[in-house]
Amino acid sequence: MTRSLFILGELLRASVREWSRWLGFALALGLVLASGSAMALLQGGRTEKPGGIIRVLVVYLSEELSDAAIDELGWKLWELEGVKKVSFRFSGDELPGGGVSKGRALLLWIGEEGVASALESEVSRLAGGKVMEVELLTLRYPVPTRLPPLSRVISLVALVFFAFVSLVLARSAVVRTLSHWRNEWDLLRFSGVEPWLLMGDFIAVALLWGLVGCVLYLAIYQGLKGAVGGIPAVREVAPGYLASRAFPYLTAFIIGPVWAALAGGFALLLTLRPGRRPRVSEIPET
Amino acid sequence: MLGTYDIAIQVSELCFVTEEGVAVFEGLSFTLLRDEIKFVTGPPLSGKTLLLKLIMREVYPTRGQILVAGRNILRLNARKLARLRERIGFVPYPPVILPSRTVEENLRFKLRALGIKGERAEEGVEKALSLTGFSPLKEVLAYELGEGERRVLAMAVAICNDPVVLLCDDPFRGLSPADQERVMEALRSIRTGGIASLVTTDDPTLPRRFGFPEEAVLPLRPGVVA
Repeated sequence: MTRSLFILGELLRASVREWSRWLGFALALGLVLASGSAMALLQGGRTEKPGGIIRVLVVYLSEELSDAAIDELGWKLWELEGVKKVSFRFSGDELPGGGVSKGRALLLWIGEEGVASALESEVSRLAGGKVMEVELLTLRYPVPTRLPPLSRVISLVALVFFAFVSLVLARSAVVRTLSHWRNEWDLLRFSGVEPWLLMGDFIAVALLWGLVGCVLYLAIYQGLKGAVGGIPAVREVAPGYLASRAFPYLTAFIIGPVWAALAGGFALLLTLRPGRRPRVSEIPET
Repeated sequence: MLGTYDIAIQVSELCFVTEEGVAVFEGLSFTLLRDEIKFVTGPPLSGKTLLLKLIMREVYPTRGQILVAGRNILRLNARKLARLRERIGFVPYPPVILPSRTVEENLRFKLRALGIKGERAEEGVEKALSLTGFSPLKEVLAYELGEGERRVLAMAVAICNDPVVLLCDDPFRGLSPADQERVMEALRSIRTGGIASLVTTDDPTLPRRFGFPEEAVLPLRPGVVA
């Protein structure tokens, strides 16, 4: 373990001499994650039919009903045919489509308008007449903002492009770092250090630089979320962007490092294949 | 009667045929004792470097047996081979050193990379520096050294972890007589430290010039198509 850490430390020092290439790789990796996120989040599903109508029966309850009785009544109402969902509002709570509740109320989300009148009488019966008022709300959801299908194609193209760029930059960074470290590499190989140990440390360096890109991605993701999260159109085109808390962290700390390690390993294999090894630099390092 | 401990390398009936069908070795056998320097001489393409690679198992022979410190290297698994490989000092041609580091840092770099620390590392550095005559030069940057000194430094790096044998690939090539003398002096000194050396050279007269007997020379001839 200490052997590997020592070699990793030496290799990191050599990589810092090529910081601009490694930083370019880190940025490209961040853009891979960003374009991948865009692809994943822009297809976020929406629960309501675009432009659809929803009806809610607001049942205002008598003050005489206890909490337990309201709870029991809610379950009974939920079992009625035509009722999709039941929820509760205190006095002053917001109602769907705007407005506030005038008192304690049960909200019955129903499908067809025809079932509303039949439900009204059934509700009164089940509540034992302790219903103050019943109100039918008919809401029309606005047609959501739509993104043209091309936007997802663009994010896919961006993903492929930045993935390619990250591989090219990883290769360039690995080649340059290895040229600085060629003498050390050869000395260790001739000393009997297993090649997998050296290769593993090289991949670890790629992973560490990749983490820089992952942190950058996370910072941009969360920064944008704070900046545009309040815009309704953003909620409509990418609901998952605002809803999922785990997504950016999983992307940054699982997919990002895996991609960085794969890119580093791929670049190293390309660099070490016979006939493609960079020349040993005889010029002393300064 | 020689014991296993007295023998650094024992090669028996070694055969190597290339993919093109050239028989480089046909039944090569020799023994290198722990306190011995042996010179492998022969013209280019006679298999001198190949022999060193076979001893390090970088290449597999077609047939035969190679014992290093009593262990058959052809039968070792990867982990055991790696451990044994650390007991073989190797100086390639051209030799590899770290020019931007001092003589001592070159040695410590290898030792730390092999996980050797503390007292053992100190002993290794001291022994390698004293056997190769580098003690007064340990603070000198490697790129400031002359060509002969660089080759000796490569030897010092190769022996700092106390191997059983030192394999040197053409350490005299292109050196002035004075530098050759310096390298030979280091090899003799390393032998006194209990480390055997197997040294390749193109020059068949070199061992005799430095006073070595016929038994210290292993002449190779170019391979023939099998």
